[in-house]
Amino acid sequence: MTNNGKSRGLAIDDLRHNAIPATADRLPALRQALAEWAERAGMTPDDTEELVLATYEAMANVIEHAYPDGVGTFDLVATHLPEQHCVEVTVADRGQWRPPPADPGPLHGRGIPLMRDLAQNVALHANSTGTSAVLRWAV
Amino acid sequence: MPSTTSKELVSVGVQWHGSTALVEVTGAVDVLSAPRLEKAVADVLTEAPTRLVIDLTGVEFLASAGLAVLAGTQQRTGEQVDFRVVAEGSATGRPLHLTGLDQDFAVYPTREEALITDV
Repeated sequence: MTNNGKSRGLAIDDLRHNAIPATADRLPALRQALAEWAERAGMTPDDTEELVLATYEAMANVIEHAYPDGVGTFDLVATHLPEQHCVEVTVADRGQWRPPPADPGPLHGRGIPLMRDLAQNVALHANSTGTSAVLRWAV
Repeated sequence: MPSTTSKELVSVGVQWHGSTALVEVTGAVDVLSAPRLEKAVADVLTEAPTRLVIDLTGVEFLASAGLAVLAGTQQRTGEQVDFRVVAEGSATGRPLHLTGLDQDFAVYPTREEALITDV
């Protein structure tokens, strides 16, 4: 077999991490896992870099907003959908986001706009049970 | 998933070239490690440089938390200090460009250009 393990039209296994403690020290290892998974899914290095940064921003939002007490967990799932020619990454928490300040000011608030610029599609859902960010890229 | 320390993520070194402070950053600047960069910059600014260069050449990941430190530095230095950033490659160039921060302060592709170019 000489396909280097990269996707040739068959879906690779999901990347799935559940109940991750919502603390910043957990995120670097997840970035690494995402980069390796994206490569197996056949994404270019450039697209992989965008996926990792956008997903990181979604996870950083969970750390900063989802649990005002600082205690909580979130789930990360990355799915390869070759028949739809896309990958989809979902970051989901079970928290109640602290309302962001109406005007974050010039020093903050770049995370969500960055996500929207880096991913081809971003859907943010929030309800009483939690918040999720679903990011999509064409592959 | 294993946990990482900020020391493992980023290293920040300071060199002086006359009254120019060069802050050299290597690694990843994210929510966990951005405070290290912020502190190094704050410490340097107490020494009243005339120019501050933050060199991100060795940075392979730059998140919005890192961008916030750069924006904050821009605000703090104002008119008194000539603030410049060195960034080369998409890991740093892309977030700086997408957020428009590369319009707020001078970004050079190499340390040498940042140090020798006079405006």
